[in-house]
Amino acid sequence: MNLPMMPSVRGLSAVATMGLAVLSAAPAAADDFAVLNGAIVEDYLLPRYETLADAGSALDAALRQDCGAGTLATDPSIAAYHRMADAWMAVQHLRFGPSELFLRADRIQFWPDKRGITGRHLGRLIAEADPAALEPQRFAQGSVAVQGLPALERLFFAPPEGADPAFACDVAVAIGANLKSIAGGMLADWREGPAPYAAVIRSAAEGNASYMDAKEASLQFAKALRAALVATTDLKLDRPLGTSAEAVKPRRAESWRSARSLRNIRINIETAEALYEGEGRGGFAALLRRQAAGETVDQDIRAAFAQARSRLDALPDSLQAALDQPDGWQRLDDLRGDLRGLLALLSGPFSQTLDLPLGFNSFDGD
Amino acid sequence: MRLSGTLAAAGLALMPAVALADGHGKMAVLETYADIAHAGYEDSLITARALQQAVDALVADPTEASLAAARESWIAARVPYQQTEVFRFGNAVVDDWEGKVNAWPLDEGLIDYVDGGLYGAESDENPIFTANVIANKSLKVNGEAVDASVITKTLIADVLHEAEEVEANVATGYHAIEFLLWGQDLNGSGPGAGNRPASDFSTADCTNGNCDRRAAYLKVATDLLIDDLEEMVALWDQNGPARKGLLTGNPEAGITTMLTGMGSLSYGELAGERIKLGLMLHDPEEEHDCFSDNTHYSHFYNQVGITNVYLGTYKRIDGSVVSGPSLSDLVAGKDSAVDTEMKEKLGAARTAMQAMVDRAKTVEAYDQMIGEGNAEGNAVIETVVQSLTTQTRSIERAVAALGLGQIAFEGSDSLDNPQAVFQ
Repeated sequence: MNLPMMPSVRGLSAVATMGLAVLSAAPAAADDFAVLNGAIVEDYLLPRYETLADAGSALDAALRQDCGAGTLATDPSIAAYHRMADAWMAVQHLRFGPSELFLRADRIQFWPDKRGITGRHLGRLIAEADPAALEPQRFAQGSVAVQGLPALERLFFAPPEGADPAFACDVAVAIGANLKSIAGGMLADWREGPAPYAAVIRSAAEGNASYMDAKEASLQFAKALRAALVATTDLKLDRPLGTSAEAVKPRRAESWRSARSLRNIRINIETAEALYEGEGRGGFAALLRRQAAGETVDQDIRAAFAQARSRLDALPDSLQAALDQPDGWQRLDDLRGDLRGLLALLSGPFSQTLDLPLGFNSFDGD
Repeated sequence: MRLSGTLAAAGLALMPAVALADGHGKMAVLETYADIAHAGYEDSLITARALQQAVDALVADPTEASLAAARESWIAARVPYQQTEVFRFGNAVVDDWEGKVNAWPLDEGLIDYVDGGLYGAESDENPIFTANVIANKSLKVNGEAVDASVITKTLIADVLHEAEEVEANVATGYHAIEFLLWGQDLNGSGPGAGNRPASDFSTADCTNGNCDRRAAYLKVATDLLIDDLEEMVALWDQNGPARKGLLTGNPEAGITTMLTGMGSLSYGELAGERIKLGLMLHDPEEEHDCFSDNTHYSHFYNQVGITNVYLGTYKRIDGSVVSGPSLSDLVAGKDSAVDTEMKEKLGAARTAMQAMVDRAKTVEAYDQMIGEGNAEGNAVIETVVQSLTTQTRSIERAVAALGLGQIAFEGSDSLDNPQAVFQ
């Protein structure tokens, strides 16, 4: 992806913010960030990782049962796939800590796959039909392209030609077991072990190997919020939509084979909004409202989320189905516009008011 | 008491002058930066001209010796060029241009014959995945018939390059030339690079067909690289718009550009796209210089380039040194601990890169290091990724120390026009 220059305009606005601060609330303090971090971990992160771990276990069980009976794409297995994909979409943007360890995020979902590597690697795995390749440890350390959701999706909805059904079933079972293990491992690393990541976040206030202070951990969450929207806009909408209705490339959409590209986006937006709003004890929104001029910024961000959500609610789960509607491309283009507006609010006033420079993110690069 | 009172008064009185000096300091740092950019692109041009001579010699008399000489020239040309990549991110004028010169990865079946078993026969993304222009004098591109009977700069740069809006349709630049000089690497994760025979360019004793067209393609692509590099040198010379844009603009924006380049190359591009991706796929096709097996040096010199920008010093190919006031000076002036940490992390990344280079020279090639089941090789590459990620954190801390706030976002319309957003 391109990274155009973003000239700093902070000099000016910092002066403005300081001027106002004298008149009203004090800027966000270290304690505020520490409280925010605690709320995000307890109310937002852990419940979502629990849901993912449960979905992983359920998927593993469904695949074992149905493939044990000799059938791959049964209704319960497909439902379990969707449940896992839903749960993943709610944590997809959290690319740090336990999610980064062992390339877990990439193992769960290798995407976008601009060079068709999933098809190539899965095709080879199926053609060679070597049971040793499915031995759990070897499978988990092999190519990420065959061990996660996109490969399972292909097995269900677009199996490689000439695939031996029994071996394809074995591959699906290997993927299910692998996903269960990864999702379980992520949750465990947040909660348990010698250095649970929840504790790392909590001790950020005193400074540790990962964070200089509480604010730096809050910055990590702010970046994740932005990353969710950047990924949605740039990868999930821009690439398939192109610049005109004639230039669409629907096969660049995420999860198009299981017809859930827009369902993914709906979950991404809901989950970004929840991170912003906070669940239970208040998130970024509450902190923002306590800053000088923060009320207006908060109202703008809420309105932008609401607009994007209502636009999405009127669309089907499948991007292709949306495109098949008479004004489909235009409606998706409008959604993309909404999200860009939201991103501008985050990168600009949100970031400046809370003094959280959003920096580089892991979707950068081209 | 009196002393401190005097100092305080003096401090207040001096404030505008100090602010001015700070602005001057930034300008001087930007001048060093522009000087290094200019020297780096000039060195890239000089070495590309040497490559052009070697290519001419190869085409005139294709022997294993003339092919080997051309390959050596290509590898030498990469040394200065890879050090300039740090100028790409942040400088829109470079980023817009870069795709012509160093686009990667490529669907090389667009250009020439490929091994179908290794390359694949079709692509979800690319309708002209196997167009093979060297073998085909007429093609269908973007839905229209194209006359490719003569291979020209226009054909490869304007028609084929990024055709069908697919980035992998790379028809120009270093990697297209690399493919023509080496051919596909058919060794998988085993030892060895691409092994194209010199006779692929021989009109007398042609192998794999269309040798005249293959030679013409190589020549045209190399000539085009010279044109493109000449353009970039001019952009950075004394009156060049790239330099002027930096030196007449807001100095803070200029410093932001420098750090954007360092951080984006370090993290998203190098650690992410170029290194981690190949490692997690264990796929020898996913290395930056996959035909020549020169990836270790490409990465290493990227890191040297990042360090150059921070320390404000560049060692040219003739051994002379360009240097001046640096980003390091600026950061140290604000927070010496951050500067020290930054230098340490730059050094650590370089050490990790050096270990990768040493292993490539003595034990196994880069594509073997990323191979499945190669725990030791994987670990060497993983260390490089970690060191780049850690280095990026320090770059962000340098940004914070300099009070620069917002920095570095990838493209989207609202972000391309930040002024519009803040008005």
